[in-house]
Amino acid sequence: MTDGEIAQVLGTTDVVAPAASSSALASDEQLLIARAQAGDPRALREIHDAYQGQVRAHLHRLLGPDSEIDDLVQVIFVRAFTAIKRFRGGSTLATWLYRITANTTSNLLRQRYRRKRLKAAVQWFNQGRRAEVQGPTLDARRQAHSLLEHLHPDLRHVFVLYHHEGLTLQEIAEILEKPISTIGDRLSRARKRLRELVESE
Amino acid sequence: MNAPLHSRYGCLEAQEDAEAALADRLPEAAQQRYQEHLRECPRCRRAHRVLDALYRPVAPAERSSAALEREFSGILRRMAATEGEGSWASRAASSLAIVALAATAMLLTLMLIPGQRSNLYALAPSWIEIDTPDTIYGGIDHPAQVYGRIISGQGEVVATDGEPLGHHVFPTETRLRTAADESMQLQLVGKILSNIGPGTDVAWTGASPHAVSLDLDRGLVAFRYDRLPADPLLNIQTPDARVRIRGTVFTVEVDDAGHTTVAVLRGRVDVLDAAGKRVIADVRAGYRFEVASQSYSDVGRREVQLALPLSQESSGHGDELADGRIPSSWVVSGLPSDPTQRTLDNLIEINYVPHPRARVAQARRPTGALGPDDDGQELLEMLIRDAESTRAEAIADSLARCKELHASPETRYRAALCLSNFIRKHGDNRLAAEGLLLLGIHRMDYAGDHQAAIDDFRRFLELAPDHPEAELASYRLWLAATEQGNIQEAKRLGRDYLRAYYPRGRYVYQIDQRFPELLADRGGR
Repeated sequence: MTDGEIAQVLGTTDVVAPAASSSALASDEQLLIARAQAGDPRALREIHDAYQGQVRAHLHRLLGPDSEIDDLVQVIFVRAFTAIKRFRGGSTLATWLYRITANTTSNLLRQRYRRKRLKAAVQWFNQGRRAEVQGPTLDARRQAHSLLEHLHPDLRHVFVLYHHEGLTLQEIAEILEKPISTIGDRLSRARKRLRELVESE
Repeated sequence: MNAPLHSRYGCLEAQEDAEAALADRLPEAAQQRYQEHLRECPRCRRAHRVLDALYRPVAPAERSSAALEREFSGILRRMAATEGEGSWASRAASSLAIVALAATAMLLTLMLIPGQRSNLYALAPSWIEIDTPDTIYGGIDHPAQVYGRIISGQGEVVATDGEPLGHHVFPTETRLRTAADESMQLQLVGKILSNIGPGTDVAWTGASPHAVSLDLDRGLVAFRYDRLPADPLLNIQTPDARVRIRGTVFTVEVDDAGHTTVAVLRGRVDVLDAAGKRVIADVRAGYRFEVASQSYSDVGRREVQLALPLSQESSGHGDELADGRIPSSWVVSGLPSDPTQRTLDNLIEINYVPHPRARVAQARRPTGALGPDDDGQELLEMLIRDAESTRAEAIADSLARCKELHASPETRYRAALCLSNFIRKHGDNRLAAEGLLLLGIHRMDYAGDHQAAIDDFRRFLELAPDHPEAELASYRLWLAATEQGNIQEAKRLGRDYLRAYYPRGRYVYQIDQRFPELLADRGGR
C-alpha cells in the first residue's frame, strides 16, 4: 500500500492542505488536536468520548442493526488516532471522522450490495417459479433498512449523510471528495431509486 | 373549487407529495389532501410508513460508560498492536504473502468443493465482541439490594444516630470511619466498589433507583463504578462541592479544612457547587481537580495507590482479574503503555502544595473499631487454615501462595487472580473445591462479577455438598443473586438456605434483614 493509498483510506489527503485552511477548526478543537498529536492519551479519550456517538450512529444508519458495528467503531478510531499526526485541520474533526467512516465502510458496503443483488436475483427467480408463496411481512423500520441495502453504496452514503446526519451538500462533497454537482446528482438518484423501491414493494 | 381538485387526488399525486409531506413542506391544504388519501388507501399508507422510516433516522441505543471504557481500551490495544507490527514495508510484504496464500487456498477450495457459488459473495466472519454487561441493564428494583457490605479492612461502622452496628452488612444512614492506620474496602448496592483510606469519615446517606448518595466529611476515598444504563447515579456531597458520577474510577478527598479534591483515573466526573446547582468542573481521566483553588494537576501516586484494589481490567473479551498492575484503561501521566511497566514503582510521587487554607489532616482514632464479622475475614482464614490440613500437598502449596496474597490487606485484591489460576489447574479435584468458594467470594467482592461468583459457588456445592463451609457457599449464593438484582432467584435461594439451616444458621439474620417475608413464611416471627 502506497502512502497515497494509505492517505486515501484514512482521509488524510489534507496533509498537503495549506496552513490557512486550519481556520475550519474552533480554537478548542485545535488545542485538542495539538494535544492528541503530541501523544496525550487524555486528548485521544476526549476525542473518542466526543465523537463515538456520531461514528456509531452513522454506522448504524449506513448498515442497519449489525453485530459488526462495535468492531467497526474501534477500527475507525484506531485509524483516526494512528493518522492524527498527519491531520492538518483542513476540515473539522467531525468531517474528518465521517470521511474515515466512509472510506472504511466503502468496501464492506460494496460487498454487501453485490451479495444483496445476487440474493434478490435468486429470490426473483424462485418467486417466479413459486408465485403463490408470499414472503414474510416486515415492519416499516426493517423494510426501510432492507430498501437502503438495495441502494448502491455511493448513493447510500450521500442519502444517509444528507437526510440522517443532516449535512449540507457542500459538507458531503468535502467528506466524499467529489464535486458538489456529483453529490447533488447522487442525492436525486438515491431518492428516485428509493421511491421506486417503495412503490414496487 | 377544492372539491374537483380533491377528487383528482390519487395514488400518483400522493407519491409525488410523499417526501414533501414527510418533511412538512406541503401547504396545509395539500397536506390535508395527502392525509385524506392515506386514510382511504392502504397501499399508500404502507408506502408512507416505509418512507417515513427511511427519512427519519433512528439512533442506536446509548452505550453504558463501562462499555465505552472497554471500547476505548480496545482501541488502545489495537493501536499498540498496530505499532508493534513493524514497518509499512514489512507489513506490506507480509500482507502480499498472506493474500497470495489466501487466494490460492480459496481457489483450491472452490475447485474441490461443489455447491453454491453464491458463497463467494458471503462476507468472511468477522470478530464480534461479546458485550455481556450491556445486555444486563442493571438498576435497583428491590429494597433487598439497598445494602452495603464491608469486604475487608478495619474501621468504625455506626448508624448516623451514633448507634454502633454489629454486622458487616449495613443499610443506608450509616457512617464509616477509619483511623490514621486503618482502611476499609466495601461494596454498596452490589455495584459500587469503594476503598476508604486512612483518617476518613464518610456517611452513606441514601440509595434510590435514581441515585446513591454519600457525604464525605474528611479523608480520601476511591471508587469504582461500572455503571450500566439503568443503574443510579452516584452523588458525593463534600463541604464545598458535590461530585456526580455516571460510572468511572476516581477518588474524592476532603482535607481537614473541608476542601475537596477529585482525581479521575477512568471515565469522567462532574463537580458541582455544594448546593448541586452549578457545574464547576468536568474532570476527565488523568486529571486531579482542587475545588478551592479551581486548579487542575495530574493524578498522583496516592490516588492510584488507593484505587489499585479496585483495578479489575476490562479486556475486549470480558473482564480480567486484578494482578497488581495499573490497568491500561486508567489514564496516569508518566506511565508507559507497556502493561508490564504499569506499576506503582514506576509512578513518580508528586508533592502537591496544599491550598493555603488547608490544614494538615490529623486523623482521629475512632473508638470501638469493628472488622468484617461474618464470612469475610475470619471464615476465610479459617477455611484456608483448614485447607492446609486436609488437602493433598501440591494443592495445599498452590493455595498457600494465594493465601499469602490474601493475608495482607494491601495485596488481598490480587488473590482473585491467584485463585483463578489455582482453579484452572486443580479445578476438577475435589480437594480444590475450597478454592472455588474463595474465588467466588473474591470475584463477587472485588470484581463485582456476581454471575461468575454464582457459578463458582454452585460448582463448589456440586463438588463438595457436605463440606463444612457449604453453609457459607449457600449464603454467598443467595447474596450474589440478591446483589445482582435477580430477586426471584434470591428468594428461592433464601428459602433453600432457611430450609437447610434455620433456626441455627449463621446467616439467618442477614436473610431476614433483606427478605423478612421469607422468615415469616416459616413462622419464624
